[in-house]
Amino acid sequence: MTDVVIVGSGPGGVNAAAPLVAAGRQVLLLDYGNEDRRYAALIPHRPFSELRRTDAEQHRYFLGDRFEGIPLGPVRVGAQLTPPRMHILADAAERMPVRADGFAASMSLARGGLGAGWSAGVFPFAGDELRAMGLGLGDLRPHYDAVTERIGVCGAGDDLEPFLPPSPSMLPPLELDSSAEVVLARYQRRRAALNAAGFFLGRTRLAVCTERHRERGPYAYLDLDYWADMDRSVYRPQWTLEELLRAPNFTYLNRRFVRTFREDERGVRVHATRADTGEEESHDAAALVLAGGTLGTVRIVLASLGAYDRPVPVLCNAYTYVPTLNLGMLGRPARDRRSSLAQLTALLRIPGDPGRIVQAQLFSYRSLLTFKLMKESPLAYREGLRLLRLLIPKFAILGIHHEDRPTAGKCCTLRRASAGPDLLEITYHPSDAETKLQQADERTLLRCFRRLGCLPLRSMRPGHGSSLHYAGTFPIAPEGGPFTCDRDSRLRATRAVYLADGSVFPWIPPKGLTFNLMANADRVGTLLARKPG
Amino acid sequence: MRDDIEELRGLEGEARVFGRYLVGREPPDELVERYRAANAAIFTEPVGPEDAALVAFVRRHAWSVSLLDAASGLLRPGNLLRNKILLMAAILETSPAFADDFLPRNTGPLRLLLGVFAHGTVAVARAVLGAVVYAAAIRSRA
Repeated sequence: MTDVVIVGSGPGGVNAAAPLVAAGRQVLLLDYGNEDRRYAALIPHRPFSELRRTDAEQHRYFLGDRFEGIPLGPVRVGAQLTPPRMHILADAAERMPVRADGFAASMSLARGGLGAGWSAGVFPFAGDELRAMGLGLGDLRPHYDAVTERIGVCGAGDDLEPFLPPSPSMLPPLELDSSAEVVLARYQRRRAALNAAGFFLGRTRLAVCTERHRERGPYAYLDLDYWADMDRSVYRPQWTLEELLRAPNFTYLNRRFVRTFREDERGVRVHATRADTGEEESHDAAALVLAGGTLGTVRIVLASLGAYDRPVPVLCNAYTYVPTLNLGMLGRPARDRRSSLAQLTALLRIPGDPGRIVQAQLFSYRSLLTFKLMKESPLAYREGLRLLRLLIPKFAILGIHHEDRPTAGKCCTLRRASAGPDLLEITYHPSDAETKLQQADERTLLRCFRRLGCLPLRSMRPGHGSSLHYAGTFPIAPEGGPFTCDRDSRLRATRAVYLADGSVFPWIPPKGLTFNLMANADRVGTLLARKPG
Repeated sequence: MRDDIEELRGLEGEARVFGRYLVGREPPDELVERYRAANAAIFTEPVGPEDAALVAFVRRHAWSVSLLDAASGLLRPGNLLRNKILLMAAILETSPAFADDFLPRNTGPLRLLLGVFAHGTVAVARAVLGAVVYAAAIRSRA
């Protein structure tokens, strides 16, 4: 009999599987498993600017064969989901319909889940941030370290260490691009005053191999990160899946859509539909790990427990983009060798509010193409194009994340459909006080960036749900009802169903969840591996 | 049949007008064909009377494209004319022959200031003039 069935091959699923497989347990991973079979092979291993000048086929992957890479509406959620990444969201809206007024619910049925397009930021929670889960840093630290080694994380020991616990096995940091170099140099000169104001800046920790690591990398600075996984240097869950597939005690079944589970005295039975034939099938195991992504897992749990029309909480970090003009770049050329990934991370301790922070990443803009910025300008396109060509090297784009906590206005409810798939209804209405607080925090943060020579041009809020960091549906809590998880991430309404995605986080710091859910998934896998068979 | 042929000719004309407007030269036939295919794939909804009138005006009076684009940027940024010009920009940008017209340029501070001032002034002037032409264009026949 299978020891553990895992649902989903995203960041949670594969990182829960890894310790189980290493411990010799029989693991079956069920996955829908959509992949890009159209574009990846078309993209040459050449730097972005060279490829732009030479590759006659570039329109296919930059714009898409159906021109799906040309966004003509308002600012889209997931602008980084370019044609080669669009398979990540394919089929999800049809299989898992959502009604969500003013909330962008992005779900994935891809191999690697939303992690297949992850921006690779690694932001481990600090001890005080884990306390709400009844966990300490000591509980997660070994799993942060295990995941760091598994996925390859690069970074530096710098001013961010008090906020982001360090790891012994980090790879050397990525080279900064010209714009970030200037900002960091300014920060070093004004460090004492900025630190006194609660502002700290350092290199972004990234799941990127800057050296050869587990048959991946090193990173080649081609600036194609939104388009391709060159040298597999940026971590994707698929890389761990490929390692797992070499193990004789690991089985991967794709084209399966898991609907429900049922428990009895012998274990757990998982019911799935074969995507290609519509055939129903079931799989038995001693334990089940659900890692289908927060919005996927909530459907499976609520349908399995018959908990229709019963709201559960939902969380998602609020997100704002702010293009700024980096004055330090005036008169400086921008180097061609670079990445499109986050260069620097800023953390601001909110003055007068101990424990509350805001986080921002600093990016440069180039490889998402100039026409997408032209669209955001009110100028005539010809003048807009000429101006942007001059200004793009001087732009620094900030992506600001806010924390999110459960409130009465944020919940989701599964509605039973008379025919076809059930409908997930999401209500997400943060209070006015929350929104005002976020805007005030942004003003404080942007004041600090002005002192670094970055003049904000405009704040763009793509809307609720746009950070894709969904969480909090079945939170880990020291005590709670059937729709909460215990310390081991076991759903209290069950005997042997464990959650290994964002579902279990009772609140989300403004840090990006992915690395933390991987570490928790590794913890779940490790705990299950230690349980007597 | 005749309408289809006319529409194809209209799209071909648009592609050439927008190419000249954006980068100062006409796109090769291959890009014109790509523009036609993209129109068929993207603009599938029925067109409103104001949008139809603006596009028809540009087809008849190629000189007006810069003015109507500038005015639309202020008055109705997501209108059909702007979307069509943006589509042509995307097609040009992803063609090696036009890559350098879109890739960012490193410039010194003086040149940057002059560029911002010059292009900004031209954009504002076009928008002011364009508002007048815009008012006339949306009243013209589609």
